[in-house]
Formats: sequence, C-alpha cells, structure tokens
Amino acid sequence: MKTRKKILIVEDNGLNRAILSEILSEEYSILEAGNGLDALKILESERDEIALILLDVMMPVMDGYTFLDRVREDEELTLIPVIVMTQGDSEEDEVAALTHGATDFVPKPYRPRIILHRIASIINLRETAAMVNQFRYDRLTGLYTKEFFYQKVRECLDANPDREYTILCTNYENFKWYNDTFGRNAGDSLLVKGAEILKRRVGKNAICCRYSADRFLCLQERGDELIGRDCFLRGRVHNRSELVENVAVKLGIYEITVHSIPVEQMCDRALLVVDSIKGIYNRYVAVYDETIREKLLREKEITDVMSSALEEGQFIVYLQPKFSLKDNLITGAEALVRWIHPEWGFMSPGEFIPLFEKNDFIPCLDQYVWETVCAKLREWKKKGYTMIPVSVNVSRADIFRSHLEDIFQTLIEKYEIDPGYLHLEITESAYTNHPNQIINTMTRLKEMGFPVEMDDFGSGYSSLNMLNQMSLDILKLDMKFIQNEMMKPVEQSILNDIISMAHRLNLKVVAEGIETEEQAERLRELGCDYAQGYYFAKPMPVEEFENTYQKN
Amino acid sequence: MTIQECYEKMGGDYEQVEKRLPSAKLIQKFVIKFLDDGSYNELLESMEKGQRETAFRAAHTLKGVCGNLSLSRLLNSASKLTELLREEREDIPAEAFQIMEDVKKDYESTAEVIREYMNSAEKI
Repeated sequence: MKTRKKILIVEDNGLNRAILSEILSEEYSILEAGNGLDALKILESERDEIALILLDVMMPVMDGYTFLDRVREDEELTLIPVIVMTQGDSEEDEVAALTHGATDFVPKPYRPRIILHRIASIINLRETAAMVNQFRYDRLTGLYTKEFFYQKVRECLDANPDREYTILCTNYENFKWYNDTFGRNAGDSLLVKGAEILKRRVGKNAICCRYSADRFLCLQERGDELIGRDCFLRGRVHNRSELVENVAVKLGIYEITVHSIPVEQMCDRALLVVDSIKGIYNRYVAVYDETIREKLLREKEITDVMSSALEEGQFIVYLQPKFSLKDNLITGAEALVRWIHPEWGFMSPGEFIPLFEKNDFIPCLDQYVWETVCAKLREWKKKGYTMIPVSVNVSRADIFRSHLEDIFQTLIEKYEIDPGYLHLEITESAYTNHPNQIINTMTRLKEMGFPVEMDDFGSGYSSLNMLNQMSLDILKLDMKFIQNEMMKPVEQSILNDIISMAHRLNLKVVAEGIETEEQAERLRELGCDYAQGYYFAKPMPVEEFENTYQKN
Repeated sequence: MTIQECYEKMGGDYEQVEKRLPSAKLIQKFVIKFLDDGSYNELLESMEKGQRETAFRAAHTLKGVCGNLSLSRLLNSASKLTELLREEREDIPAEAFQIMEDVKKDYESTAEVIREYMNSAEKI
C-alpha cells in the first residue's frame, strides 16, 4: 500500500478543523494543532514526515504570522510548503500571508476540490524541487555536489574570460582512520564543521562543493586563496571545539591559466597536487607547478609501462639476509623487489612502491614476488640446500582481496612447501586504518602455518593494543625508530621496554637498518633477537645469496 | 425532519454544503456539533464586556464556521458584524451592537432548528 502523505492542519476552531480533516482524510493522513505553538511542537518530531501545512491566521497563543516567522528561521522547515487559509474578506490578509513566507492561500469556506488540487500540485512541485536540490546540494554539508559545481565553474569561467581563478582542493588526512575510530557520526560532524569553515574562509564569491567523502573543491578568484590560507597552514582540525589529533587539512591549489580546458581536468590537477603531499609531515599546502607536473607525468609514464615490465621480467627479487644477534648466523631473508628498466636503469623502490600502492598495481607485484619466492623455496628443497625462511611483503591492498587465504593455500600446494618457511610481513600502518580486517585475515593465515611479522613497528601510530589483538610471531622494528632511539641517552630510550614487552608476548624482535657495529652491539645487549641491515649484508640477487649462504 | 428540511428552516444552503461534505451523515454530524462550538458564546461575552478585539476574533470564527456549514442566514449577519468590528479601535461601534441583535436572533433560531432536528424521530 502506498503510504499516505501527512498534512498538518493548524486551526484553532475545532469544528473547522474537523470539517477540513474530513475533506482531506481520504487522501492524506492528518495531524492537527490548535495554535502555532502546538504546531511547532509537532514539527519538532514530525518535520521529516510532513508534506504540507494548512494554516489558519487568526489563532490564540500563537497566530499564523508568528508561526510563519518561526518556520522561516529554520532552514529545514522552510522546505515544507504552507498554505494559509483566509476568510477571503481581506486582501491584506492574503498579502500578509505571502510576505510572511506562505506558499499559497485558499479562501474559507473550504472548497474541497480546489483545496485538494492545490495541495496536490504544491506537494508535487516541492518534491520535484527537492529532487533537483538533492542533485545540486550535498546532503551532509549543504555544499554543491560535484556535478553542479562543474556546471557552476564552467558558467563562471565563461562569463568572466578576463579574470583569473584558482581551484582549491582540501583533503582531510587520516579521515578514514578518524571515522573508523570515532564512528560515522563524529566523522560527519567533522566534515560539516570543515565545510562551514571552508565557506567562511573562501570568501563570498567562491563556489564550493563536496567532491567526495572528505574532499572539498572550491573556485576562487586568484589571490583569494591566500586569504584564509593561514588557518590551514598547520593543518589543524577541530571538532566540537576540540583539537582533533592526527587529522590534518591539506590544501592543493591549481591556478587556472587557460579557461577553456575541461573543469574536470582542472579539478584533477588540484586533487593530484593535494595527494602529492599526502603523508608528508609538516607540509599542508601545495601548488600545482612544473615540478609537480613533471612528477605526475613521470608517474603516468611508470603507470603506462608497469604491466609490461612485470611480464618482461624487469622486476627482480633480491634477498637481504637476517642474522641472529646471539651467534651472527643467518636465520632468514627478506625478499625485496628491484626494478631494472632497460632504458631508465635501476629504479628506486621509494619512487615506484608508493605509486603502485596508489594505483593498485601492488597486489600484482606482490603476487609475483610470492610466486618467485615459493619457486625458490622448492628449488632449494630439491637441490638439498640449507633451508632458510624468506619473508615476503603483504600489502594493505592484498588484505582487501577476498581470497588471500586461497591464494596462499594454492601457492603452498603448487610448490609443495612448508608454510613455516614463508614469513608474511604486514606493515603497521595497514593496521591503523583497518584493524578488524587485518586482524581477521592475518589470524587465519597464521592458523594455516605462516609465521606473521609486523613490519615497520614504531614508524606510525604504534598501538600497543595492536600487539595484543594481532596474532604475531615477529616484531620488526622500524629503521628510523631504531636510529632515533639510539640517539637518545640509554635511560630515555624505550627500545629496551619495547623489546622486553615483545618477549613477554612471546614475539621475536628483528631490528632493521643496522648500519654500524655499535648499533648491532647495543641491540645485542638489549636482547634483540635478529638484525638486518647494511652492516651485515645488503640485499642481493638470489644467485649471490645462494652462493654465499647455502652452498658451503 | 430531514437534513434538507432542517437546512431550509435554518436559512442554510444545502446544495452548497453537499459539495463540501461528501455525505448527509457527515453534514448531520457537523451541524449537530455546531451547537457545541464556543465562538458564539465568546462573541456574546466579549460584546457584553465591550472587548472589541476579542469580539472581532469570535465573530470572525463564527463567520468561518457558518461558511463551512453553509448556514447562510447566520453567516450573513455574522459577516456584517465581523466587518463592523474589524477596524482597530478601543471601543465597539454602536452599529455593531445593533447588528449583534440580528446575530443573536439568527443564532437562536438556527440553534432552535438544529435542536428540533435532533429531537425529530426521522433524521436524514
């Protein structure tokens, strides 16, 4: 059954109310109020349900005009159409009703067919308008939608060919984490606040929209983007007047030089430039310029060739040995990928890995490394080499593939290897953003027999809770974390505490990036189990690894 | 007495009220309810006390109700009274008191007919 629309009748005379209700009750469901104040009370709880209000002007307690004024103060309530009922004996009443914001008026005595028609057409009109609004305005923030923004920007640029404009893009760094941690409502409230601040800071002539979850776009006249910029410079975010830790606003700026290029492209550039400072501490504003342009072009070049590079075997697996600090004997190796391009030569992993993480190529590359390592493990077993466990990287993106367990199951079956020799490294930051999914997946993999290592511990927002929740075997301390801790006087360093705690949780500890004898010595004293780094051995091609560690 | 006969006796417009309310039963229901409507008593009281503003509101309401029930005779005198009371001033104009006598007469006769109708054995 079609649900009937609700109409609120506001009229003090009971008999009139009953007659009107009778007239409308066949098509609508009716709510009644005897004066403006009662009507406002009903609106408090039923505002979303009411399709239209029929209002008498002359009422005790609160009359129709006062009611209309109060309704006008509330942006949401103004969306409900109000028809005022007049005695038809005074034009002034009718004019007054309309100036107080009524949508229309109908004369008393009631003429049912006219009332019903007018109500139906007004409701219909409002609903159509509401649909248009839904398309134009973002429900949460009230800013324009992306599509309507594109249209508005195009109109503005076409109308003002001589003026210079800028596209501004904001990004709330770690917004997803905030949403996960504090809940959807807190996240929404943060965005609403953010939209308000944006509207206030960008000036009256700016055009703003919500581009996606936590991204706002804004068209400003050149120079205007500088006005409110100071407040963004440290990227601070407040919600309900409390400073929000870990969340920062970053700004990307694209200065429009040619009005005729597609607005979407202009916006893409602003978005790209804001992404370019993602994760970079202390950088909150970036302007699209030649350097960025070149970097983006370079990224595009890499993106264009990455798949064929993988097919052609340009990606090569290197192994970096890990040593026991007790006896300096090799205990394992980490598989690292190297890219040697026929023209460009040796490519820095620092350049292509973050890009692959962004453009979703990383699962393909990871899978390739897993295959290669598994094939090697089988080869070693067949050849009777010393078996050395190898760690491979499991990226955040891998976790979100639905069949990660199946993939690993297939691998150990295909290559007939003991899962105990394939260590899985998951980076700490993956946990920060999606704890539950990571915990579930890694727990299942550990149950299948794969040793699990937490990589880069100490590099981000290390959560001690995480150590409790994740079933881990090995904790890998981040290289920079170790170096920082080493710089501190012994009594101030928490390295000792972390290692003891890990041991209490039955975890082995690996230190990464060990470069000097002194560092190795200190870690040994602290009881760290394993170490990896240039001091011991650099990453090397598999053949060299085999020759050095397995053949003698 | 049928409801049509009742309307004829009250000086009402049955044809018009029929367009407003879909059944004789409903017309009957609302006409009987008219006896409980407080606007006439309020009018009476405020006229006696000389409260123009309140009297205007009451007359206005009475006029509205009569309009909706198409009680034309009473509507006519109530409308006249409403207009005489509309102008914003301290006291009630003398002319209004004269018309009030018409309203009283029309109201009493209308109410009398409705009571008669209520008591008649054969309704509708």
